[in-house]
Amino acid sequence: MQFFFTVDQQIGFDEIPPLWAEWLKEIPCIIAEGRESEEVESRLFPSPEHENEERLSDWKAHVQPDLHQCFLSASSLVSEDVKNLKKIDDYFSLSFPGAHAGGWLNALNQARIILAEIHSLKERDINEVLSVFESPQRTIAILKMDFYASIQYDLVEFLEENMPASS
Amino acid sequence: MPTKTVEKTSTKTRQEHAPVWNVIVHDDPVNLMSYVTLIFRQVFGYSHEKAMVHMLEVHEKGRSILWSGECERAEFYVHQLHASLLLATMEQQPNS
Repeated sequence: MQFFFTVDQQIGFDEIPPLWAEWLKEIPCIIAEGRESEEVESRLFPSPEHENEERLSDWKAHVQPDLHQCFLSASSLVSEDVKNLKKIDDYFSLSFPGAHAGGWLNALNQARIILAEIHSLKERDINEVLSVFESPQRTIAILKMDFYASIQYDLVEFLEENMPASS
Repeated sequence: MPTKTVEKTSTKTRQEHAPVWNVIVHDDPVNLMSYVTLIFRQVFGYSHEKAMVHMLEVHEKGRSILWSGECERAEFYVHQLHASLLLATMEQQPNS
């Protein structure tokens, strides 16, 4: 799979294998499924301050609706973009505006966090060599997380290169 | 002239007694190091080098204080960090 970006700020991927194209289409589904889990909910919407019930209550009332909207918006953006997956010979190609890179990063992160929470994946599980005999579902979840991470690396690089210099 | 002197003293006293809040980011096994560095740059306007130092502190020590200052601004930063799916909290500095 090849990452590309053009002078008119289109970015995307060529030579996407069919399985990976399916995994791209799954991102909004993973996010939607994650909303039904309490563990995911508490990870996506953490408390802003330990042991302060009043601030947590205010946070839930005023900030979390905005976070919900932010996460939903990123998922919707990816959902629309993946409709543009094009089959070329045995592979797929996908391109979208560079302005969508932030939304993609957010949706990919949601998907990776949700996969980790649903399959109870800890740091050791994510970083160590896979054992398919342990649990095929967990192994597939880790492979998806790795694939989504590889896209995130490319998008981060793109955004870093297009970021104004700071002090 | 005397009026100006009184105003200055009053402002300084208010600032000295305002509580100081720390914005803290906690370690998370899922977020990529390069992603965390990017978010620190975007949210706080830090240079790549400064963002890297904080990212490595989070990774190695489990947490890093990213910013300190007034409560409302700290809330704003925590909101931005949560929107980027980082584990962030705010804590009032002891004796502030």
